[in-house]
Amino acid sequence: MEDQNLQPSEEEIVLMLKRARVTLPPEHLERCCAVVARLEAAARRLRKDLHRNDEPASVFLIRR
Amino acid sequence: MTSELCYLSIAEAGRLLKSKQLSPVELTNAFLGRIEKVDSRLHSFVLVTPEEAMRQAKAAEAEISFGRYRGAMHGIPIGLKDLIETAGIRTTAHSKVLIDHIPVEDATVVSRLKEAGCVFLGKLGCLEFAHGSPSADQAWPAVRNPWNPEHGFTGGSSTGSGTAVAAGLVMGALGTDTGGSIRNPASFCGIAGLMPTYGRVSRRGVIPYSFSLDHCGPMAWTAEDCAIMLQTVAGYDSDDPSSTNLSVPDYTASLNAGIHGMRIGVIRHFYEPHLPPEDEMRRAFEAALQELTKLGAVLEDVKLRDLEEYDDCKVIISEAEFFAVHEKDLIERLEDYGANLRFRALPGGLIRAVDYIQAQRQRHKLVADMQKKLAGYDAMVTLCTYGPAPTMSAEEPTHFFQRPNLTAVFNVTGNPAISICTGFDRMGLPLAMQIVGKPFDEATILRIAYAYEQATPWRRRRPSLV
Repeated sequence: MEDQNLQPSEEEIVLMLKRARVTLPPEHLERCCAVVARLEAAARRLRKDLHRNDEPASVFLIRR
Repeated sequence: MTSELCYLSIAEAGRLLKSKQLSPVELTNAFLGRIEKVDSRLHSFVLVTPEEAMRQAKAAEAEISFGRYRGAMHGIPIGLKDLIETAGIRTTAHSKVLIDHIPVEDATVVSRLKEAGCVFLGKLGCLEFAHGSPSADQAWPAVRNPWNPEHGFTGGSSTGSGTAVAAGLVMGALGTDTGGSIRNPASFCGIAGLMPTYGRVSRRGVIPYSFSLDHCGPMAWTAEDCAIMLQTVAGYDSDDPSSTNLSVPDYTASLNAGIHGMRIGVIRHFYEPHLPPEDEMRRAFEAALQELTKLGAVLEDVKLRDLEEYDDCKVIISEAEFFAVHEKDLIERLEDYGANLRFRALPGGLIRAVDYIQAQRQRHKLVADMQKKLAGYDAMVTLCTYGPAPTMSAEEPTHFFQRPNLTAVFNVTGNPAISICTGFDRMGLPLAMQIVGKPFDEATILRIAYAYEQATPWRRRRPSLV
């Protein structure tokens, strides 16, 4: 429930995109919000099980 | 005779060209004629370059007749996904944004294919910037699936490459793969599509979608042809910061060695029980596993992380990187992007820096886990797509985000993976599986794919178009 409350509203999404200097055509709002919700959910899940010293992947993804 | 020539594999045509039983000019003419005859239904090309192709074919013919045969790709007619830059030839990424873009330099992979003496037939359609999906406002019609040209979706994003290879309009093509864009259309079109290890094939001159997930690789009718093409394009490129400086093995040398005694991990938990694939796809996969066992491989189930973990990681990284690449154009000329790319691309601008970094930190762990698991096997196998090609009308543009992708796992970890045909459903649409290898061990997955193709009849069936 708490997670759902953190989902940005349609108005907030339009505003955030404006801050990113992008103007969202109104006909795309519904689908755009669906994508934002998907990304928000992914970002939330990705925070789990990370420890202080876990490093990000680099451009040399696989070390030999 | 034309379709017989156009349905030769690269390996077969190469032998005939080398022995001068077939002329590059004759071969190129056959392909140009077939493109003219068939492609108005399929729309696989956004640009055909007949003059350039004939010039290259004549040059190849002259060289071969004087005994200067360059190798297995000499005189072979191929196509390039229109995301790959070609000097002096328009490269659009299938977008109005780049409708007038004429690069001044070839991508490294194009230079290498030119050095090998290939004949370039033209530029192949794709999903817009490798990320959109077909929409009516785009500059070209959607590419059609040759197994069902009226209704069939080709997948994405290397749509034209998949269609043109299956339809016998090119002998091979280069595609790119950020979340499955080589393997997905290969699966839907019934061909072989190889995503090499991250760092194995240069992406310099390939218009980026997502720097840390993009791969470039071959698409062809057989695994053997993929091996031949990979041999030509693989290798270090100091102009690509992700390129790895490792020697390139001979990919065709061990194709025939069989797979007896190989240990192959089977990944079923990605889709079972919660994301069941279509029944015919699942049954074809199980039959393929039996075939691999008959060939002497030892199979056992393997458990990796949940599919969703890879997918979450992939979407955060790819959407953020895509927006970074396109920020200026999305702000200044949004209307030039197709309708189905606009709503997809814009949310990438809202991903916080910290979430992008967390995704890359998780990715580091996913990469390490994958290599540890693979250490116990020669390769792994799993499904490539949940079912055969859907119809164009069923292709809802948001579906991309609704079900975790079975291919993006290996973009996140960087492992090589090949999609090969495992048969056909009752409607005659191709079915497929993917074989995944250890980093820089493309040779092993090509060997498994080759053994499977030799043991099964699927390479003998082509779409009936004329």
